[in-house]
Amino acid sequence: MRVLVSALLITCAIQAHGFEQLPSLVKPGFAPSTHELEGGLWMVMANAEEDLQRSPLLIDRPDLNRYLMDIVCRLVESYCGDIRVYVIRTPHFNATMAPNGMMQIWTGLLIRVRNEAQLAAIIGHEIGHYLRRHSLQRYEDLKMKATFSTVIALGLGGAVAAGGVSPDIANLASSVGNFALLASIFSYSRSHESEADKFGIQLLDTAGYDVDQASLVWGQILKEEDSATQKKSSGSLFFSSHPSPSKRLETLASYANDLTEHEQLHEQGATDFAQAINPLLFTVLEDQLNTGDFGRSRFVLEQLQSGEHDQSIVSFFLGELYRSRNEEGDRDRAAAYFRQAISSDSPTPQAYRALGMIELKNKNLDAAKARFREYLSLQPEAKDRKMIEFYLEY
Amino acid sequence: MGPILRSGIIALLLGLAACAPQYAVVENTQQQIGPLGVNPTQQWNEVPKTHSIGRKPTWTVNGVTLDSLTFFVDVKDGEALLSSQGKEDKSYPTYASDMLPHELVEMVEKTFAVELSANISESGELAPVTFGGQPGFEFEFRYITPDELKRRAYVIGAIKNETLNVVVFQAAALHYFDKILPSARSMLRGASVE
Repeated sequence: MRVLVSALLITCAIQAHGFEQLPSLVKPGFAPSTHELEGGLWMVMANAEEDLQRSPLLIDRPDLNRYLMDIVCRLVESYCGDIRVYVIRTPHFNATMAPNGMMQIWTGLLIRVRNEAQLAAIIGHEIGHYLRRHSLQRYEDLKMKATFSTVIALGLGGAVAAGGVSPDIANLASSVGNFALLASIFSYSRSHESEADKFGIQLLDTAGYDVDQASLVWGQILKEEDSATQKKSSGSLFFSSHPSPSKRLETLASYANDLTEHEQLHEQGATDFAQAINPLLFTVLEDQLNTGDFGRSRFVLEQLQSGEHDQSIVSFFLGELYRSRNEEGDRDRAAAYFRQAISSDSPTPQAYRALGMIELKNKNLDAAKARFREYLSLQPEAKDRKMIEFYLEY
Repeated sequence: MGPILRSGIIALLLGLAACAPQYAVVENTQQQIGPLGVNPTQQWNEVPKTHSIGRKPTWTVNGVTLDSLTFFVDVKDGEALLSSQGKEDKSYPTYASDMLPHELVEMVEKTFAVELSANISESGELAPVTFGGQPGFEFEFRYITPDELKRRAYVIGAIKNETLNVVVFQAAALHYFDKILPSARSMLRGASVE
């Protein structure tokens, strides 16, 4: 009901400010006939979705999926039965939408958006592709048909050789997994991306989220690119076909300006977002540090410091970042972060171990052993228990 | 079959043979890889450097896509396990002779994650062990490569005179890892280091 009332309010406001609202081109509950071209495409995508459901990189967390589906349903209540969200364990910023309503969100995105409104902006953008039938428009293009057939017949390598898929997209897709294959061939044109941005922000507004957050995402991405140690591999399919982040920032900020003059809720949802991500935070940050990009990892971690995420985990990984870089002064920096991590109400056990290792290297044996004992008391079943006990015999 | 067609087929087969990597059988006698001496207890094949991780000495039983045993020997202070020359987009962690076993574990895992674009899905048991007469470490980890195949790795190593020697056995998790690990581990636990 709230959504309906908001929608009515916003429709008036949008019209008053000249923001031309884009209508959905898909009816709720839509499923094409299997005798039609689109039906065939859906059947192929259904098979791809079954593969995705078996992928070892699929994050199987019902609580997180429920949270993401709640966002989908808040954005497009009448379509929430038509869209499925899958979280994929990949440390890059990306989300994709297939023509049958299968949405992928990569874990790297979850640590780069700062609140629920920013996440909803991305989800709204992907829903925009679905409701504006962008993939079908692409599929109807002759070249796209050829590419699709080639990809299905030969796999990605064959499609690249046949000239159907850009090598940039293919290289990235090959480095992040087969699950990205079908998603990558539905890389949308820039005009589709711009339209999805517009559709996404109007959904954001209708649902009562803070519309300014949509452009802020792209500001953060630009800053991260500036901070990156390895600038050559942006690690995002977004950069392959999407409008540039600076252009998107500008356009989305302009839409937000048009939309913010009417009465709205302007919700950011930082607390709910952090609570939903926290159970996954340790694993996702571990994957981020394993990319070996110091600059990018530091940017992401420092951004998380101002969020409502589990700060013990964030401090622990900032410590890990400096400890593993091991330049002059890094050991002390790392120790300071580890001390922050254990001063929390629910300290990360690994921070005790990390501090113990630093004390051991600094030849403070008693302090080291005390930290190791604290670690083992918090993690009695630790898989490195035998090695920790070996350290205790020093 | 005409002579032209026949000679065409022969040329094609020869061409295909030329493309295939040339594996050499590893003799079941004491093998020396740098300072490391091992006695193979099963049939291994030496992988051509063009098909091994970072051109490091590598053996396999069934082919590198299914299993491999890679020797990182004589690693000196400040060096990485793999060279990043020509791979500017990859940054490998470097070895320091004061590293603790936990840090060596992390270095190996991170090197694999960066080199193979792999997700380390689980770090397994880490325990002290004697390797080549030195106090060393052994551990296991699980990882997923972009082909979405689940893999497991067993790592054993030690530092001697500030130089690191570490060996990684990895294989597809479902069948090959458990099948080959006992023989690989037994051979490596009995290794000598000069």
